[in-house]
Amino acid sequence: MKKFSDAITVVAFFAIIIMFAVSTLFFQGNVSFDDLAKNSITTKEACSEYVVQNFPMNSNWRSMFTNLMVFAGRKRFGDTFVTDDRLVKLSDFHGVDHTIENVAYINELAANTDSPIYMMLAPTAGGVYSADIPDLFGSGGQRERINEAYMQLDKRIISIDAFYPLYSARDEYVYYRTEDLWTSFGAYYAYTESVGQLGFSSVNLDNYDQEYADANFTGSLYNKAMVGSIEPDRIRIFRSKYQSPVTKVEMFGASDEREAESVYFRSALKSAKKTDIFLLGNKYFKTDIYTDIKDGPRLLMIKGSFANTIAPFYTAHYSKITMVDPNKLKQADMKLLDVVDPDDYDQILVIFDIDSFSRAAFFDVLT
Amino acid sequence: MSDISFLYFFLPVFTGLYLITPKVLKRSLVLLAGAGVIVWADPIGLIPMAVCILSGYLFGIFIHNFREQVLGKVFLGLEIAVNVAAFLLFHRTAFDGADFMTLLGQKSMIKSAAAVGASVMPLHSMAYCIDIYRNKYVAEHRFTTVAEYIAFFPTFGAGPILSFDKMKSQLEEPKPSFEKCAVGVRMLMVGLIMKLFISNAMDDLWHDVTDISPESLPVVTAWLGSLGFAMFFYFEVCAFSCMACGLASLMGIDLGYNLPGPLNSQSFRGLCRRANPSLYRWSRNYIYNSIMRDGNGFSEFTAIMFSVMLAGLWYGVSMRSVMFAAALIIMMSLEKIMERPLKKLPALVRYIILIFLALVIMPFMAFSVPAEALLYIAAMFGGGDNTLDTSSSYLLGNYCFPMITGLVVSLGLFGYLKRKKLFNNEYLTTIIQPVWVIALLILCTAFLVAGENCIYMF
Repeated sequence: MKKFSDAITVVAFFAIIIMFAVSTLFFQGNVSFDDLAKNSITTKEACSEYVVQNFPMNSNWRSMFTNLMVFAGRKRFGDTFVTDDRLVKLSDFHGVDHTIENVAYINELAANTDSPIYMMLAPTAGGVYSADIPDLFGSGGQRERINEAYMQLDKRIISIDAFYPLYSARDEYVYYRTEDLWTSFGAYYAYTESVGQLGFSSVNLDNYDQEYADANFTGSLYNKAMVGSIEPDRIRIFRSKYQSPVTKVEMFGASDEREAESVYFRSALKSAKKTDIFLLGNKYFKTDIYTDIKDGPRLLMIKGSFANTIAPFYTAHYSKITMVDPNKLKQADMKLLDVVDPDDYDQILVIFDIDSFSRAAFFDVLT
Repeated sequence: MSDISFLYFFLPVFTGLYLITPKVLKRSLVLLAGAGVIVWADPIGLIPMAVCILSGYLFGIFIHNFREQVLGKVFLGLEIAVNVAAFLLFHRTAFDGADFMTLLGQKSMIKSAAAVGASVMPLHSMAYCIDIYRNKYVAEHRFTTVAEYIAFFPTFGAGPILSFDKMKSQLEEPKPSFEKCAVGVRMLMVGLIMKLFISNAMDDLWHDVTDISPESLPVVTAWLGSLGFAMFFYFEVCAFSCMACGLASLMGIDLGYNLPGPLNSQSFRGLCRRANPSLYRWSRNYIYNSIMRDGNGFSEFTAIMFSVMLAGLWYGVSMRSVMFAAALIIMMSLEKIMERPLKKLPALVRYIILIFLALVIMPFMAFSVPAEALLYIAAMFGGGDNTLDTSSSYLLGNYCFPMITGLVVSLGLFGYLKRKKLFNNEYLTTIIQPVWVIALLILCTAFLVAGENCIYMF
């Protein structure tokens, strides 16, 4: 009987192993080895990554791991924290903090242009829902970090407080549950706060039709952590009840250019990153949005990923909005002055979330 | 040596090849596989492998031929010097990337996190030659037997450190069987789940705790951190030793390793013995016993000092190992001096004192800078600001399951169940064993696909 049990154990063990090994090598091929080899430092890393990526039922295994760990009480998976109803990206407080350096670049930009500059540092979900996250992850200090950054700003730069409106609306759907980004609602709250300081009255929410672009969206945090208990997100877009003011959108990348008639790109809903429905995310270093508001002011936005969701709201006030992504400029080895002249604009608005802003090492392109 | 490629590709391919290879070629296959494992980690690791094998084999013969003469001592000295050099130059821990060169402020010779086998092969090589010098056995003339013993790749991670006399017959005549294979896969899976579920979780706990500055570290959190690190420290070695025994068992070789229960210890000496039995045996046989000749107090203190210090370096040639070993030497010396009064204390009180002191000195092993360790220890006694402790409840909730499992294993539950023959019912065992092994395989696969770290950290 013992021998039988031993034989069954060994045969079953190796049968399962060989079955999965053969399946990984010959029946998967989701990711090619060449692609992985390009992005890996060593062949060994590429091999390991190839096996993991092409392992049969990869997402099921990962989901099983996370759900088991959540059941065992674990709440943190790498930089993702699981609260009762959402996933929150934790701030990387081990990394180098570039806040002061980046503020200095923005001060320098202000010194070199006559256009008034506004700056909005938005909190992330980690900051707004910091009460749900243990103190040791350092998420609680976002308000202080934002204020410290604002204190370093030149007097000519007007700071916009996005923390308070978002924190006040924290019980509403202002941040995605599975993505490190604010929702259209969250962006709207920040818009109402900022547009007043920019000199306009905000457009009332009643003037928009809400459209569910995707009701089953699982963002990058979910794809990393695979926690089954978190509800999928809904991507909502706000369309003006009247004629949309946007007439043309022009996008400029390092290798391609694109033209469209709307700020919403439904094609992105078929891609892995569905939030790219807003101006195709961060693919292009410069985006020009033209509207039918003749003689309206022109806005230059120095933007991070949070700006894509808020930009559609500003189209109601400007004749032209130019969005420049300093990260993409850096990657293309270009400077701000290579793509726009800041003096051509009536206002300049810098929009970043505080975490991205403090880790960014690309603001030198502004000077 | 425990990532998903190893489990799903190396393991079946190697085991299959090993089982079908004729007996004469089996040793060469093991050597080749060992070299392959080293090259996979970092090709420079082939240098210590070659040095340890060649020095062990050649000096072994020379020592055997000249052991009655002064030349024998000279060869033994050379053998020790060569292997100590190989150990110092090529042993690097993944925990803090420390090695001898970085300790001297120089650039490390190895690129990878840890050069595989560089902590085990020199110890095998030295043990082999010292035993020949001591007339324990004669020098082995078959090169592949000595080479396989010195570079027996399943032990490359954390040992266990083997003795040649116990291994020789098994290396020459391995007897693979379904029974040994079943034991092998069982131990392999138990070792792997210990690494992935307990050791990694305790390492995470430690890192969560050290994210808080010592100035604001609450007392309970500090003690939890120290307990977490102690468990990580034990389970890292235990898990890899278990996997090594499993792999060896698949080859029909019994390394004779049982899961020790360190929390059953009553003294620091017992704690060290149970925390890493093979390293304890090695340092006792080849360092402690070599110094401890006349049995007086001074030589005993010297013997403890050298054996503990050198055993400490096995966990990484860095300041933290030196500091931890120094703290351990003080504890063991005090324990020796106060042997009689301690024996009069009730066992539970002795036990509490032991665990308390072990946790107090544990930060020395964790911090590369002694001042940081001292700050941490101060926080354990209220040196930090502990007015608002929100982290302890989080840590307890987040890590309670692996921590409790770890504590149960550390108390020697596996050994107890084995002794009590709890699962001795033949029919029950027939069903439980395959289900248990497959369940562990599924769990380990889920952990590995999810990207859990599987590198040996010391």
